[in-house]
Amino acid sequence: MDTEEKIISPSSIKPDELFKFLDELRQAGYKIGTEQYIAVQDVLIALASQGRLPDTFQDLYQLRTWIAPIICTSPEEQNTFYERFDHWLNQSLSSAQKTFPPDNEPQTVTRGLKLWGWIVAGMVVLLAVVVFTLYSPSQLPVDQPPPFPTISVDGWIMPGIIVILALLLVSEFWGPWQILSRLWSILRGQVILKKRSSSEIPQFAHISVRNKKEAIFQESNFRKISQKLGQRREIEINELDIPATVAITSQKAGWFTPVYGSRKLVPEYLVLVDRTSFQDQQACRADEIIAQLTQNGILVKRYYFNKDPRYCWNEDPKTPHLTLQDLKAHYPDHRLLIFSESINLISPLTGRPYPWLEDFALWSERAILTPASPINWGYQEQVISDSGFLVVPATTMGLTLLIEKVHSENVPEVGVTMWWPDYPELLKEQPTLWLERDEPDPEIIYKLCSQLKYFLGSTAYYWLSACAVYPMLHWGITLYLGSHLKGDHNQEVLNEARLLALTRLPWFRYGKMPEWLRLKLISDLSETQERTIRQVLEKLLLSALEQSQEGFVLEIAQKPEDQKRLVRSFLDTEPEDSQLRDYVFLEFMSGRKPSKLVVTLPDAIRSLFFHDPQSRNLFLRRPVPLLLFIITVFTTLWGGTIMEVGHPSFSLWKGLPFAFTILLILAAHALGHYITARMEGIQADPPYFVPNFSLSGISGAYTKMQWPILKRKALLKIFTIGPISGFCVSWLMIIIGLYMSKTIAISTNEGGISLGRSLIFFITSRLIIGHLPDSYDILLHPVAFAGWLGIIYNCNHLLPIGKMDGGRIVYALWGYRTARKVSFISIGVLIALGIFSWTGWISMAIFGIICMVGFREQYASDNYTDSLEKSTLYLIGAALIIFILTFTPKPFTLNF
Amino acid sequence: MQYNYYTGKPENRHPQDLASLPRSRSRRAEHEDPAGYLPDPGLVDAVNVALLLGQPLLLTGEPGTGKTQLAYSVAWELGFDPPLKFETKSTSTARELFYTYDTLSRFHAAQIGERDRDSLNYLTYNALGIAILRANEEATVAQWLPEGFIHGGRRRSVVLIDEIDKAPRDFPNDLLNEVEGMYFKISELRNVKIEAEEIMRPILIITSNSEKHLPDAFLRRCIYYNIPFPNKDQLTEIIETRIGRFTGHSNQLLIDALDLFSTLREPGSGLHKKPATAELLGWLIVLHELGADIDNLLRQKPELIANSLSTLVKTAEDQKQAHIILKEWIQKKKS
Repeated sequence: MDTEEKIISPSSIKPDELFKFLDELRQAGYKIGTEQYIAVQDVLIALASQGRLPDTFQDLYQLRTWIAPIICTSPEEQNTFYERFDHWLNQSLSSAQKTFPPDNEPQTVTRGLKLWGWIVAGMVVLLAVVVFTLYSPSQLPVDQPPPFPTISVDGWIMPGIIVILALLLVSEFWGPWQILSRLWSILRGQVILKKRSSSEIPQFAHISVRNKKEAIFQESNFRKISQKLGQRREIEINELDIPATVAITSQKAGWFTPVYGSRKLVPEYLVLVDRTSFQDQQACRADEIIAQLTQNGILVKRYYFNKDPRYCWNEDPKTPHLTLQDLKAHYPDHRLLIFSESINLISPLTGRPYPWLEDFALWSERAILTPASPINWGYQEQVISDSGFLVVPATTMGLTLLIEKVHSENVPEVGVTMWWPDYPELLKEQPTLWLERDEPDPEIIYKLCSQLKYFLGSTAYYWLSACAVYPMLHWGITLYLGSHLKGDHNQEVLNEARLLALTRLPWFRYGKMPEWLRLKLISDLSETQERTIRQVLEKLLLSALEQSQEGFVLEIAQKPEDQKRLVRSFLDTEPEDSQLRDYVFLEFMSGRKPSKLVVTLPDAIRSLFFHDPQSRNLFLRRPVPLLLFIITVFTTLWGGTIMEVGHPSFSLWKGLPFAFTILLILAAHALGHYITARMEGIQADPPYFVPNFSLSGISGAYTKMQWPILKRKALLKIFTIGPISGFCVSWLMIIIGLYMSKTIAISTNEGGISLGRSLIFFITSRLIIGHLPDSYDILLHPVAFAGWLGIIYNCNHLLPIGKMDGGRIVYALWGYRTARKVSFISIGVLIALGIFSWTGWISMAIFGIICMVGFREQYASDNYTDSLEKSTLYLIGAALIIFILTFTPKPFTLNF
Repeated sequence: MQYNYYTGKPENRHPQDLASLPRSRSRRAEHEDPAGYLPDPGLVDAVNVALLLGQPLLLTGEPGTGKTQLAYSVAWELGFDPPLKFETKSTSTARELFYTYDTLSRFHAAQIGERDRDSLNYLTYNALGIAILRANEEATVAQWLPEGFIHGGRRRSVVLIDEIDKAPRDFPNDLLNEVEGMYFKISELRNVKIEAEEIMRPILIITSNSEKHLPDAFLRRCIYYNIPFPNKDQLTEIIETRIGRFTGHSNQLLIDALDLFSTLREPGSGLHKKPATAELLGWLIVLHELGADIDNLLRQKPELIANSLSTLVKTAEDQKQAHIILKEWIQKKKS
């Protein structure tokens, strides 16, 4: 163990962690025993002794194919194992802050691309020089009447930082945002679940609610039954039974009389389940019985059929159906059990069993498990029984009867059973009629309900009404309600007989209930009953927050817009019964009292339902970005006011044009990063605005992302779209601002700042204001000034240095080594510019050096190898053009 | 070009000379040459894990993914003799994996008073039995060898248990101890226990069409790998190594052939038995025999495909469906 630790630790993945991962797998249902742990350890030790222990990312990744064969025992497990392993690896790697060595994937970066890159880089430098020489001498002083308030920088900076830090600390522990979000949710109104029809298949949010396994059946009963059902049976084989042969041969005075032996075989069962729809709860109940049997070691093969058992399907309805002959060929010696209403096997024309029922004689042992109570059995059951089937109720008692038959060969007598009323007459004739959306006459509804009440009894009727409260029928919810509601005498509603009766009803078989019936059933509930049911449902929905493995999944639809892709994938898999289908939809409702047919959603789990919770509550979920934003709003207003008024002042509204514009530009830049990242599936925080207490009030905005980004395309997109969108907004603001600016005559004595001009600024001002005589200049409107600042900001970020946007792009294109070289060259150029042209570039160079810190650590590899698409190349081209257009050799000069 | 070995016309009879037929058998052998076997990368690791831990390797996967061939490939690469193969039948017992004893002949011999009463000569060792015997020095086990058994010196062997899911349920359970300890007992020879030497333990490779029929206890003692069906690139590679004629990834015939193949294999195709790699290889050979041009797109010759489709889809009911799919496919390609 000790040596192993030493060798593995460089990779920062410790065996303990791997075993924790195995523990997780075991909880997820993998069959892992001590031997497997030892085997995994053996493999690690063996690898270590060969010096092949993983110490690179690629090796760790490969470890999965070494461990999977030990852990997995089925193709499904093998597939999910790979996913889980990757997930686990990524998690532990990100927590271990690992540096990633190069990828071993084949290098596909083409020479052409590299060459192209160098040409472009050369062009950039050339253009920069041209721009520099062209524009630096011709700077026109832009009149800025108020003197530059330097005091604000010195005087405010320290206390400012302290205040910000304090606020950050406070907000991390105690969130005013919680109150805000609460307020917001009240304003937004209630979220409800409602049934709606849609011809398009909407997008679903799947929430898994926790629910302990409901005990429908007594497990001890099943253990006994399974023991009996699993008893081995003897079959004859063509092998000699030697002792018997010897005995008989000697009896016959040496006349050789062979006796064939027998072998005891475990009996196997072929079960056919009637399933009218995918939500057929009667079939679910049968499945539950089968699950119990399998759990107790009975070998069961299950198929489904729809009314006619001659055509069977397995779980996957897309596979071709199997005929009786197929089944016989596959399972000749199995015992046949059919879960079905006996009426399915009786021809309505003759009243006799269908002729094909004879075909089942292929199996010598066969039985029908019918949901009808034996007390109500009649002619149908008799004729089926005459055709060689054993007819038993589909209950634990039925299984007991089955055992008797198997072991004693006598047809068992169905003893006295609990009395249960006969199935409602109204439902018998045309069960599907009661699924219609159109409401029948009130009289008929009344009759139906009274028959139902008689058939089900008051407790099960209460259960039925409870099931009607949730917009759709769902097997999990049926069971959940059954076990959480209390009927008369404070008894649990769920029991075998009631469940059997309930699942026979057509709504449970087809998995849908029309609104008129739901309304009727709910209004029959007393107020306390309804409240209890709704509370129980709310509790169930809340359990979705616990994210446990146990339980079941609810499908909740959202508005069916712009989900074409999903629609397609669903269309492929879901059988289409009709054009119009019902779904449980998530809807907002404010102010009004919810109708009886909807279920209100607890506030706490609201976030689970949104496709992208972070984009909905952009700032509410993250207190720090919000707080920083608020501070930045304040500082920019402050700065804007100073610019407008000339001295610090609290009439902040005067700074509004500047503050709004600069925030808009920086937000456009940062959100460009953020939204692209989210679209590419990369975890990112909303932008952090960095306030300062200088004239501009803002230093920048920072978007935190989850590294490493494994796809080159994603990286390129994120870091080109940010500057592009920032640039677009800046330019727009310059145009608007220039229209609002004035031209004034300048007096050379007056001090102020003259702003440097980039190509774009120069061209735009020429187009809007036109050529100015020497003694005139533009008095920039705050909006234009903010636009100008935005342009500078964007341009600076496109410098190909370290962790700046430009540096990232260079990295993505040519890998770390090139990016580092380019960064240092660029820093060198900046320093040169600083010495020869404008000292401000020195500070930029320092910032660039800071941006080099930890540059490499964020990447998965030195080189990306996925190929580039044309659209990505266009984006890079656009970023390049923007850089050229916005580069300002001498951003500003102070004139005194 | 057409097949013209047999025409159904009397005038085409070869009166004296024998018709020269293609060397179909040897070509098949060529396909099964272990040197041309291309395992899945995951499978390679699984084999290594199994060798490392000395546990049996259980392989599942669709027919045609090369489960059986892996054993040959492993034995070939490690320089062992070809694997000792045990073909499981629905009546197999665990004992049969090691040896069978001809009780009836022995009994008969006793009856008619034949002199040969040596029990050994009614004993036939089977795959794993042979492997375990070979894992010992000949001298140590000589007394248990029937006449005519060629031991050939101590060595390790690969044992292949093919399609274990065919056997009765009890078969794998009965094997557990024997496989773990690599020993067996012969009840007919006063329960003598023959055990493999630790360093010479046979390497056990088991194939199964589905893991569902196997008990958990057995699964846990095995190294498990499910061979996924090869993707297009892998198929191309397999075709290249198996039948060299279709070299080059971009050859037109192969592109179309693989496309049609994957169309037939799609889950919604409605075929009961999906064509597997072996069928694909066979089909490509037939296409070649029928004169398909490597550089032409297959879609231009629908009659050629229709004629050869029977090599790809083998059951009568599937053929109808396959022809429908083919028609749709050609139409789609043309548009």
